[in-house]
Amino acid sequence: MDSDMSSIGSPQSWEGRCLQPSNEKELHEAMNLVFDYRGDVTIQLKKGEQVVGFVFDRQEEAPQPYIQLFLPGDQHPRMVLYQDVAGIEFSGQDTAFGRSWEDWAQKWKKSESSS
Amino acid sequence: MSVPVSQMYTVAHYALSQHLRGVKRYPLVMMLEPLFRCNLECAGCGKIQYPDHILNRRLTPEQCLAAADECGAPIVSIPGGEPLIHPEMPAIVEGLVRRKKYVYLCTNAILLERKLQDYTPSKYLTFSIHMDGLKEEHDHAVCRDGVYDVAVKAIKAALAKGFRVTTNTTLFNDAAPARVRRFFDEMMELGVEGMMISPGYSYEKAPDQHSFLSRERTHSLFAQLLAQRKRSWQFNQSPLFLEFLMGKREYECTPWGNPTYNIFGWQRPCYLLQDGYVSTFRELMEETEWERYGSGRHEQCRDCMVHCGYEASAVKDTFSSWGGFFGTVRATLFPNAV
Repeated sequence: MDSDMSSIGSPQSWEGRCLQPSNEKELHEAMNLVFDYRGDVTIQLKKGEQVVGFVFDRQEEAPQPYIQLFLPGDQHPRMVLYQDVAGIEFSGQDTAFGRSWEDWAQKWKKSESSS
Repeated sequence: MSVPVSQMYTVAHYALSQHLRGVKRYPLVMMLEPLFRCNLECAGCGKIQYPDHILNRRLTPEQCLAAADECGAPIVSIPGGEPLIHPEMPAIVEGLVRRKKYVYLCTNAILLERKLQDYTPSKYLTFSIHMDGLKEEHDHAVCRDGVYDVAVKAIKAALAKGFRVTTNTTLFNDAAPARVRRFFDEMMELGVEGMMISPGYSYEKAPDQHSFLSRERTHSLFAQLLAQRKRSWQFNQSPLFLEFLMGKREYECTPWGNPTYNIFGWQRPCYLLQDGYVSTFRELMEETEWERYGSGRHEQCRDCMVHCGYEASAVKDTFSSWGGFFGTVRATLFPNAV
C-alpha cells in the first residue's frame, strides 16, 4: 500500500493505489487525482466511515472544498468535505486504462491475421 | 441551403432577440446527454469510461424536459452514449418536439433501423448519424468492422420514411483529404440533408491522445477539404464556422453557447471539459468563471476548434454585425470565393 505521496510519481494507472495526504497541499493534489480517476474510489473518513463510489464533481474553490460521489445503488449524490478525508484508495477498475489506440490496433491486426 | 428555412428563421429570430435585448451570454444548442452507455467503444471517445453503476444511470424524460425548459435554447442536440439505448428516448424526443425544439438525435445508427417505428417524421427531428469517413476509415474509427454498412442501410431506411437525416463527422490527424472529399460525395449521394464536420478534441480522458489535431494542422486539413467545394456538398452548420476551421477567421470560444446537461448536472464549463457540475442552468451561466476558459487562457483549450465552442461564436458574429451578416451571405452563396 502506498501512503507517501511524494514517492508515487505518475504511474500509468492509479488503480489499486492508496494515498494518505499529510497536509493541505497533498490533500488537494489527492482530490484532483480522485476527480480525474475513471473508476470507483474508497474514501476513508476521519470519523471512521468508508464511502465507496464514483467522484464526479470537485469544488475546490468553495469556502469548504468538497467532492461529490455517486454511490452504487443510491439515487442522489453524496457530498464529502475535503477536511473530513483521512485517506483514499483507488479501489475500482480504472476504466480508461489500457484502451489506447495502439492497444486496439494490435487487437485489430491480431483478429485480421487469425481470420 | 441544407438547413430548412423555418429552422434558420427560428435561430435568427432567437439570436437577434438576444442581441437586441443586450444579453451577453445565451445558449444556442443545448447538449443533452441522458446516458453515457454506448454500444460501441471508439478509441477517440472519452465519454464512456465509467464504472457500470454510472453507465446504468439515465435521465428521466421529466429531467430532460425540465432542463430544456430551463435552458431555453432553440436547438437540442442529444449525444451520449448512444441515445437509442435509452428506453424512454421516444418520450424525450416527443416532449422536445412538442416544445418546438429542433432536435438533433446523434446516433451511431446501429439500432436506428429497428427503432424508427418509435419516432414520427417532423421538421423538428433530425437523426444525426455518426460517420467518420468512408467504410475503411469509419470502421477503424469506431473500432468495429461492418458498422459503416449498417449505418448506410439505416440512413436509407430513415430517408425512405421521411425523416431528416444529417451526418456528423469528427476528423483526426490521419484524415486523408482526398478520401474525405470522396466521403462527402458518398453521403450526399445517399441523400442526407447536410453534413456536420469538426476536428477531434483531445479529451483529457480519451484513450487515443496521439490522433488529435493541432490548430495549424486543423487549418491546413480543412483548407484542403473545403477548397473548390462542390455545389452538391451541403453542410448543416454555419458557413463562418467552416471558414474558421480553414483559418480564414479568428474567433474566441463561446463555451456557454452549447451548455451540457447530463446525469451529473450542468457541466462546467462546456461539453468537452469537465471542471465540475452545478444543479441549475442559472448557476452555470451566472457562477461559472468563463474568463478562465478558451484558447490562450486554459491549457486544455489550447488546440480546441470544436463546433461546440466555436459554432456559437460564428452564429453570434452573423447576427451581431453587418460584416458578419454579409460574410455569412457571401460564404453561403459563394463558398469558393477567396
